[in-house]
Amino acid sequence: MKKASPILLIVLALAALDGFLWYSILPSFSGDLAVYFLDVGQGDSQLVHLPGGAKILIDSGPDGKVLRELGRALPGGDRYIDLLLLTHPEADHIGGFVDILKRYEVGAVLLTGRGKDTDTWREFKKILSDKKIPAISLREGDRVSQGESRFDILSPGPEYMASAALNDTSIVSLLTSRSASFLFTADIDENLERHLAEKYDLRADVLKVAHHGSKYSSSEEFLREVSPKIAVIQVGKGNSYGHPTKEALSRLGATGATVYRNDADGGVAVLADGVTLSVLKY
Amino acid sequence: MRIHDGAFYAASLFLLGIAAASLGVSFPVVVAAWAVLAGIFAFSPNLIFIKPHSRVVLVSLSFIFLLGWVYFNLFYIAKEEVLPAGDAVFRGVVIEEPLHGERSQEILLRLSDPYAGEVRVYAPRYPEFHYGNLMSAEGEVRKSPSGALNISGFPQIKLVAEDGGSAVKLALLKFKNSFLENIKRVLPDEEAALAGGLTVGERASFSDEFKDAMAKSGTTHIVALSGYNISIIGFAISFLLAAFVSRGKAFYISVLVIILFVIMTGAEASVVRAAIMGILVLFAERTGRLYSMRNALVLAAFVMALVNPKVLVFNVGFQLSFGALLGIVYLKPAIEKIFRLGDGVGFLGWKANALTSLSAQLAVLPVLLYNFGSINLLSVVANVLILEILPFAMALGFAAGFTGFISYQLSLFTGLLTRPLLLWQIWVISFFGRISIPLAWDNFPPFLGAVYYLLIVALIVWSRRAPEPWEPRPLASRLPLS
Repeated sequence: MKKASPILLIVLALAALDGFLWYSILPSFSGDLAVYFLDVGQGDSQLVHLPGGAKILIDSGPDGKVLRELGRALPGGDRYIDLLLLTHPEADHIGGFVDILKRYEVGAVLLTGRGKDTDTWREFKKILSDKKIPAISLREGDRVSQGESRFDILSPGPEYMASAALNDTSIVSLLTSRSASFLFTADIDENLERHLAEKYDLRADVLKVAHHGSKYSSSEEFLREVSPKIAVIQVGKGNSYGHPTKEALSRLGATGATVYRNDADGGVAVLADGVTLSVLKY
Repeated sequence: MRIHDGAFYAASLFLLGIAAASLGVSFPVVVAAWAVLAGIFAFSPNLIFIKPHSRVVLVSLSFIFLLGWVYFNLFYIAKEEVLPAGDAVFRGVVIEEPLHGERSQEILLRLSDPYAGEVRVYAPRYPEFHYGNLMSAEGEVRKSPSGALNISGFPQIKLVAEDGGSAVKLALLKFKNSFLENIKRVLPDEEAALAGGLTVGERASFSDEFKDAMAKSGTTHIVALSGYNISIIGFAISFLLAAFVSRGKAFYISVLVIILFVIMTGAEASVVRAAIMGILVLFAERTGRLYSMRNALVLAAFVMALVNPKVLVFNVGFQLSFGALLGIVYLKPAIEKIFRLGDGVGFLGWKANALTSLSAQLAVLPVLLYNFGSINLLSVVANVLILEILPFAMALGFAAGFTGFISYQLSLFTGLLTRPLLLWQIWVISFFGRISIPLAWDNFPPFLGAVYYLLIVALIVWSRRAPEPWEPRPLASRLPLS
């Protein structure tokens, strides 16, 4: 066989590189809404992929495991996340953000601004300022939207921002997109649930169960208000808190919703194509 | 006897003495052993490896066996440990870049006055400590279950100062970190971890599940740096430098880069061995001398034992690295000859790879059983499937890390090229991590290992003495291997 000329090889390599650059610049449109409840162990992390292409990561689990789960949920080679949303700075929600900020390109970070005196929080603030990533503070009444998709921020309102319990300051958001709605409740307890139920129409197709299935959350009246078709509990196998509690599980069972949990199902993804909701365990 | 043969015997005898001392053999017994050894050298019938005129030299060299024993014991006395007792405050310098793991960091601390010795400290992930940091800790120091390590689990730690450590090593580690960051920015987590392991031996990013899968599939060695890495570096340097500098300068630069690479990656046994032998290859090329694998192996072991006599018996990585190479150099030709496998390499060289893996595995079998209690009989299959593409995965992994210094977009591209290879390896490792035919043997008796190795040596010697056109035996001819 004749030896390939070096010029031809270089031209081919350049052509491949060119094709790749276009591929990476052009946005990808899948058209469906996908919400991944990442299996990060005992902690919260949800990746929302909007029909318009934006990717939003709500919380990051307790440690670096979120990186592996992101690697599985994001399309191969995707290195950009538009928004990181920190609901509140507890260890099992903030733990993986520093790793993510080190490895992914991030558009902006959304948070309440309420901090916590821990090494992880300090490291998080440090990397945000080192990498000059904009941090935007959210309150009740704010909205994040892209095309038909919108996140309505329902909490924290001013009366809860100074609460002694950090869980009360959690960002609660309601996502509506592709004729489906998702309620993300972070770690709120029954008092806050009652407060929100009085103030808002909370009906949602999918509920991220509050506080990993703690018995002080997921009250009967709140679940009746939300009346979810699908409920997902983010919880780690054999955790020391006894989550999810049998109290919460029995109240969830009474609603008729299909309950998924990361400790038993692994990663759980809910997809909405505008007509049906489908659940994928991966 | 030629000088290089003399050096070979001297180094071997020294290593033998160190081995005896490591195993706790007392001085009178060692002297008796020496007398027996000298007796064999002086009066034994003519064995193949002792030529008559070498006897005088060998008898005089046999004293070096005693020297090895003395060296080990002196070294051991000089390095005595003084550990803090109970809950105590201790200070120390971080002497290796800590392993920044998924849940915690692992810091190797050299204790400062009034204590002495090394302690492995486990700490929360943040704040991150680094090589050269001077830190103080309050907590307990315990012996590890095996007794080989000192451990302190989550003491209260504080950073005292940042500027300890050598400037060269600091710069190298900084470079390594940027290199790894480049990889991590363009590859999903699992693949990035593997690429980091293949190129610079980074292991902190592996999940426990993946480490377990590597151990069960018998593929952990691919993330231990070895001759592959050194060859790729040597090749890349000669390629880059060929156009610009003379061959003389290229030699010095190559040697320097190899040494810097070893320091940068933390000088684990396998890469030190590979580096010493690689430098010897370069030296042989430059001076036009013959490269002797036998002498290179023994010289590498000798240098490493001189720096730290404990590696010989107490460092499993050292034993696996040398054992596997000895298997490839001596056992592989023997198997080839006995089973008449001389011709054909197979698709992508799979036959050669299978034989290489098999020889290496056979050579380290007792070491693995003794230290880990079991091996996977399918590991040869897993290794063949991985070794086919290992050099390409390594080379592309290096490319992904280096192109990141030029342009992020470019490294995304090289990263993309690397992904299929990494995904394939991850798949093979996970698959053979689940599907295994384990050969388990708890408390493998060392004397059985000794018998095993004697049999292997006998096999090698026998195969060498066998006449060249080997008559096919009925058994051998029916083996599918030929």
